[in-house]
Amino acid sequence: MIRQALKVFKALNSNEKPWQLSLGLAFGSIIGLMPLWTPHNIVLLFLAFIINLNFSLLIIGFFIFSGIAYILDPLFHQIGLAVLTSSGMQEFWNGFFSNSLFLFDRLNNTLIMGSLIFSLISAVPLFFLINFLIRKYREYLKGLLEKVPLLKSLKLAKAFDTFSGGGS
Amino acid sequence: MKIFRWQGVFAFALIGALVGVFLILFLDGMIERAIEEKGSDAAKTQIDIGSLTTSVFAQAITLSSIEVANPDNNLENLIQFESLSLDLDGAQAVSRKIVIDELQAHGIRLNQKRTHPAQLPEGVKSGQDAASADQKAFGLPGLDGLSMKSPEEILKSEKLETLEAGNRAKKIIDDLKTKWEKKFADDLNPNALEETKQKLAELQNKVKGGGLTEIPQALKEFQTLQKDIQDRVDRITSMKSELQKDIQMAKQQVADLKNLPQKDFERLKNKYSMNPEGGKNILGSMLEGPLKEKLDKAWKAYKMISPYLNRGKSPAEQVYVRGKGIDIAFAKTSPDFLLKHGDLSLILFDTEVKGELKDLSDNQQVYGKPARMNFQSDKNEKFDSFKLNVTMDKTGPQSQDTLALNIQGLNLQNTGQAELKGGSAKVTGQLTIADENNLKGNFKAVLDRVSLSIPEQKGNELANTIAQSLSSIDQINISVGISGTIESYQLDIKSNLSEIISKAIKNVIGDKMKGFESSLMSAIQSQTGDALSGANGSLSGLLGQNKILSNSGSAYGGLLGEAKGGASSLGKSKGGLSLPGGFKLPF
Repeated sequence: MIRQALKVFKALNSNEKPWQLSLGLAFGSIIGLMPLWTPHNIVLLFLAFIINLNFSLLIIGFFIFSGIAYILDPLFHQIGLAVLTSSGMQEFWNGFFSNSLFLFDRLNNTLIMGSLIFSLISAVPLFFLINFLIRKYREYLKGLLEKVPLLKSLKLAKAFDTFSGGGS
Repeated sequence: MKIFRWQGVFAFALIGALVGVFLILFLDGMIERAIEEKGSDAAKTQIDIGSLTTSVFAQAITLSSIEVANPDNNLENLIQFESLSLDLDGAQAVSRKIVIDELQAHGIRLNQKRTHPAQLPEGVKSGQDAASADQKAFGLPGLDGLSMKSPEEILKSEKLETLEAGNRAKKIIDDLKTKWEKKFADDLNPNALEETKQKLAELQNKVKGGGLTEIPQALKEFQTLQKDIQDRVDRITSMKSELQKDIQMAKQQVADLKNLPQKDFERLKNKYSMNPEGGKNILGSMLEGPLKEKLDKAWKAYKMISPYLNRGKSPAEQVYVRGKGIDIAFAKTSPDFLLKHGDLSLILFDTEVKGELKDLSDNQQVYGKPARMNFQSDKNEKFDSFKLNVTMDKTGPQSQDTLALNIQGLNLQNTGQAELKGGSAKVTGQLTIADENNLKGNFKAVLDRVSLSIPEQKGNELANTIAQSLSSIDQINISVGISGTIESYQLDIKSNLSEIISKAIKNVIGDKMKGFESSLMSAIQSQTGDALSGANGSLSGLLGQNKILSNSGSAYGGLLGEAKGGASSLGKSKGGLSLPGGFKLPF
């Protein structure tokens, strides 16, 4: 986890575009907020592999939002229940779930449906917010933090690791 | 900066391949464990699988040595299969439905002993207890119940109504007696009588020795005393009537006891004596117990399976659990579980009976077809023909499950019943279970050329004689009617055996029964004698109270007469003082 945090720090200070970092975190939040073993998570993972996003932030996001998901579990259930049992949508759902693919994805489950809706909606502002924060960080804080002696020594250690063939 | 990194596809494919290899290596074990664990939880009994192999490409699963333990007996399997092959419809798995196109089940055996005890849920009785209960197997038992108990033994285990009623009556009468003794002590104080007598005597003396001036005062005192005595007499009269009522009640209690010894005698005689009519009950008790044991087992299995076959009517109730959510069911077009066709092979009486299972689904209302199972076998060394048809129809609002059995020429020699040494049987019948609860059925068995060999019981002459008479029977007809509900059902068992047993009993026990009856009556009388005489004694005591009250009443009556006499003589004096010779003074 410390290694992942250092990687995040490194990414923040690297030449990677802010959207790569924020998209990694947004993907991590979607995967983390939803139950792990669902088929659409495999699709998201595939997308994460082929889109040039930051994987360390995806993993960090996954762990952080998994914890948040546990706390928000009853809320997800309520959202899913409200959406799936809404009287005006029954006809739509009957047609929707006549496609076996959606049943296979278990979208008729209150928790999966609720967490999917919540994570997709929250991922968009999260993406733009993180994007904005990274820009601001790089603009104002990056230069200042590089002057901190501890971070300097970390950088030196990293350079030594790379030189001596150790590290990742 | 590129948006896509195409090398990610290879990385994803590599991870996918690793997962695939892992599944190929461990999927079988994972499924096997999942079936054993989840299946055991659902069925509330242990399920064991010897081995399981899957073929993803052929969409097939093969299982071997499947054992489902009996939840009531952990040393027995309810059902076991030598092998089970399933051809699945893989496309349906995408919709999370299990559709089995073809099933092959071989070596199905029922109620087989387990090699090792099963772990059963808490609260289920141990195998040893259940096994011992099971030893009272179905069929003709060893006539254990035909030994005759002595009256002393009977009375040790039986409660006598006479004894209980006698003690109860004695207590009631004793309580009444105590009540009246207390009342007498309070209201009929002997000192009070003496005091009244003394008062009267004093008043009389006072009148005799007193002057004319004291007459009005004496008259007043006489009247007061007279009123006092009158009150007491009235009180005694009312007590008398109350006591009479209590005495009547006590007498009734004692009178009621009179017929009770005879009643006890009749009850115990009917229960324990081997009268010819009792023979009919013997057959019922011989067959009813083991039959009910088997049927209870069958109902339990039926109740266990039924909910899984009727999801349309009773969908599984879901409760929100953190991390799991609830699956919302939308309009179904097909059941979640469907077995289209299955070939079965049942091992019955150590011979193979082929069968077929069709359209077994968890939601017949959606599928629209009832589940059917039939077993059929032609002539072999065990029977001439065997037919078993089971239909579970839950397509309508009310389920209708039927079982029809027809066995012709069943060889009785090797049916597993030690008592049956030869002969053949014809068993036919039908059972209908409406709405998964209401039973209606009738089964008939005709046993021809029967050869019964019932083990001899040392010292039980009666059982041995009856066993001997049964050994010469040529044909036995038994009919069993089933009615009621699964929770509370009745068996109506009829057979010509009843007549045979009654006849045998009549011949053997005629004289014995006379002796038994007289000694039973004597035993009852001697055991209840104390209670009856105790009740009678208490009644005499209560009657004694009546005498006390009567005596007291007459004593006060006498005093009242005297007081009245005294007062009236003084009253007369008021009109003119009496003189000897009838003369009267003018003032």
